Amino acid sequence: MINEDKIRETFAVNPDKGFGMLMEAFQQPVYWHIRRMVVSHDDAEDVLQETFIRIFRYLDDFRAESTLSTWIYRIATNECIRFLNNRKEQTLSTEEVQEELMGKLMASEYVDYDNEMEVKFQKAILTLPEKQRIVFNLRYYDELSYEAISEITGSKVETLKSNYHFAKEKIKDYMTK
Amino acid sequence: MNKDFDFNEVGKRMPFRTPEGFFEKMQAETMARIKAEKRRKKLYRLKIGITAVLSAAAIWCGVMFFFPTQSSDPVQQGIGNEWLANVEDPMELYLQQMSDEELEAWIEFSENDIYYELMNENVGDYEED
Repeated sequence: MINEDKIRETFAVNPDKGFGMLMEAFQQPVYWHIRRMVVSHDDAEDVLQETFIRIFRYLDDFRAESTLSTWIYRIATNECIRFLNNRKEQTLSTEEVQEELMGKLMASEYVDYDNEMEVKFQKAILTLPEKQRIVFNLRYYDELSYEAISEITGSKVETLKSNYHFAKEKIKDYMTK
Repeated sequence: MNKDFDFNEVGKRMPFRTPEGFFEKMQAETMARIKAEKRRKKLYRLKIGITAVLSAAAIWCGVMFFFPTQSSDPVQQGIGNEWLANVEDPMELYLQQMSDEELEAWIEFSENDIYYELMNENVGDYEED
């Protein structure tokens, strides 16, 4: 169990030590969240580092209006969106970005292709629109509450519930094709 | 058709892997980057401080050069600095800055023969032109 108060208290007294504790606690879940969004390990590494640099810069300003983990996920999600939008700015359409991500999934040094169902499941997730993909990943893998996802994405709980429902239906369709 | 797929078949397993020792390396690299950023910030603040001090010193020197502080001479103290803004002729400025004694000495010198000779020489030069 992550003790967020302890991390913040330590950070206030000794920023390096407090931040070390924060990285220890959140590095892996945040990496996997980013990895599911950007697919490639190299891209996930860059986005993860940017995320933690931002967290360090703004941790002083964190006012506990949400939990630390929600705040961290929000920064990580925004960094993922920024990264994907940058790809779109480089003359790639939304569909092309989706194809690019699919390509990365199918040709990566750090993907285990032995388990076909797991790979197919990730492909199914990649067919979802970006917003649905974020909601599905946060709910399905990270088991966050709709309220927490609402704070992360800025969407209403009802909208998120419907996004998650449609995402699951689409994945089911894809998996049974 | 949809009912055939059970999410529990996949669960939370993913086909993704990371290089060996990735998380340890990442933590060390991020901490190093943060330390470098802190150093850069400190240097930047130092630079701003030095620039501010140097700028203030330069402004002070400029003020001292163009608007020297009033002399301790009570006669000169009577002259305000306001007139400086209106004076354009350097000769006039020079004369106005002279003390009474200096002015007297200068008048005495101007009445001297050598002065007249010098002045006449100059006038002669112009006439020849």
